[in-house]
Amino acid sequence: MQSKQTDRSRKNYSLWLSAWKRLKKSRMAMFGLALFAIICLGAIFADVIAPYPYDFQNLDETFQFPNANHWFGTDSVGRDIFSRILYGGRVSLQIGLVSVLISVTLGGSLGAIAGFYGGKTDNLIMRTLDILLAIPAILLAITIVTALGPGMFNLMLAIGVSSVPSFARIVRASILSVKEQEFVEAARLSGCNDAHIIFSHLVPNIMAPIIVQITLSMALAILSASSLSFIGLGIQPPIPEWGAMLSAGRAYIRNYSHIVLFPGLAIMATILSLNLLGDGLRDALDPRLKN
Amino acid sequence: MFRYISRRIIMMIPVLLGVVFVIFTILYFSPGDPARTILGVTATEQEVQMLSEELGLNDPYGVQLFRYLKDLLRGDMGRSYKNNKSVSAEILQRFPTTLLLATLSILFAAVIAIVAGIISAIKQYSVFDNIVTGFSLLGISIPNFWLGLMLIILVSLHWRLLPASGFYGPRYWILPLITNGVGYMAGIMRITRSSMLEVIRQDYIRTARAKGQREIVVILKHALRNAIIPIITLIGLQFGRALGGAVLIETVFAIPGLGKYLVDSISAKDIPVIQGGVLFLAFLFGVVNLCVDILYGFFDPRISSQYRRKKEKAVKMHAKQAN
Repeated sequence: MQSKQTDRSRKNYSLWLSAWKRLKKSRMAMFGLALFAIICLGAIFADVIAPYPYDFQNLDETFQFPNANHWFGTDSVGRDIFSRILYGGRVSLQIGLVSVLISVTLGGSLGAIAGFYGGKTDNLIMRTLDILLAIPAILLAITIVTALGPGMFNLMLAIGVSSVPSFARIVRASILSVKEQEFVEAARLSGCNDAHIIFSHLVPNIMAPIIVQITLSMALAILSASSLSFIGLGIQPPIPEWGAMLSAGRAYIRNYSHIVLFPGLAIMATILSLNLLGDGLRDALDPRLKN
Repeated sequence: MFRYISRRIIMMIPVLLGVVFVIFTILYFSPGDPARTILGVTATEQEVQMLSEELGLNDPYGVQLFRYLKDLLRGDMGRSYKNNKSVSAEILQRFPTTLLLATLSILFAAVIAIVAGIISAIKQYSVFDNIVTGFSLLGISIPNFWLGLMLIILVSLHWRLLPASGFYGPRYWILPLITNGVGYMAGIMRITRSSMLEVIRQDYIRTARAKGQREIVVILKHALRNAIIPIITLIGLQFGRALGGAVLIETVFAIPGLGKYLVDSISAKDIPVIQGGVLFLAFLFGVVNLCVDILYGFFDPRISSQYRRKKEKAVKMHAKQAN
């Protein structure tokens, strides 16, 4: 009995370990992971690394081009762009994380319920989500932010809700592919209730597509957040946000293009890192794509 | 085919009604007093009350929703709070620009991306394939509004080659097209490549080659036709993104389309305009989805034959009974 237990745990362990081994082999994925780690560290330790506070204005040093004191230059009121990008990373990563948590919780449970129960429940949930899917995501987010007003939490909610349908669809499809298998029948026969079957037996078996989707959705959420801030609906000044920095710098592109260069590069690097990581994870976690 | 199309159209109706319901409800609960917005801070409480009554803003939610739906069916989307102009007239005047930009961007992106994707799949792991894969990775990650700003800085301000804003003729289209197109191109290239790679390993491709068919026919007729469904699906989704993304691209290039109209009214909390604009763009997206569904039936005979077979069956049954 004892040896059987260890056997099973080793097997369980090696599933993730072999996925990690496969992930390590992919140079692109490791580059993405490293880049993302650097961005996260920069955001977490912003107050240690950043040479200036994000709202420190120095009116004697406005519009400075990149130099030794200000690596990325300064903006129209003399704030250090490098420091603002580091602090902006905090905002973007937080928005990405929380909005994906919202969509994975809401969309995931709806999709799981729809897939598991099928029939009328499935129809009701999925037809309702079809309505949300019929509205281009950014427009749905704009509508929600208009109703709630700008601000960080409202932005997270808007972006999270607008990607609920895509999560629900993926989780539903995955549940459908595993729910007819024997271990579900075994769990039911041993007296497990539906909630237990869904969360303890089905969900662990569909973690792979969910993890991939989380990574890729986070990239999308960060992009949406900066887009909404760019059109003035997201984070309000003086809190630094990459999209808002682009929007504020737009007026000066004729002479001081560095103001809009670096925030854009930061957005791009973050999205690129998450996309590379997500692609790598998909290849590593999906056994059908082995070989 | 006709049955298939009409079924799709009928299925669209409840979705569109649902969209109206969702958007109306979200915006109904937005804070702020529209009558106060229209009249400004100088108006007396009594004037505000009178206008609210006149606009029917004091009616219960259900009454207002029903009235909005009724007006919508007649093509009336209410009047702007800001300048009292008819929202539907303003939208009709602006949407051709947005639709033109979205369609051109998608066409531009799709043509290049499908050709590049096919070549890159045939010559897998070649230099060209690596360039295409690299480009699509970067293209997916570039925020298009930032790419637009960079292009304006480089092409319009530094090189002075193309105008930076407006939308008055083909010269003005180039930068927005590239800005919009790069992201879509990247996505379509990826899916074309992977979809073609899947198909060209199939037995029927070997058969086509074995019977001596010319390579170009094998690729375009036998392979592409079988690989095209996911590509069309993605192009349809991209179209939706292009319609929504108009709010960004039109802001960057100061294009007088529906997106710019929407963005300008957001800061003023001009609810009828936001509502009308979002609904109209969602409606356009619905039409695009319908076209995609029709294309499915066109490209994949299995889909349209599902509907044909039913009819044939009915005819056969009828013939049997007649005998």
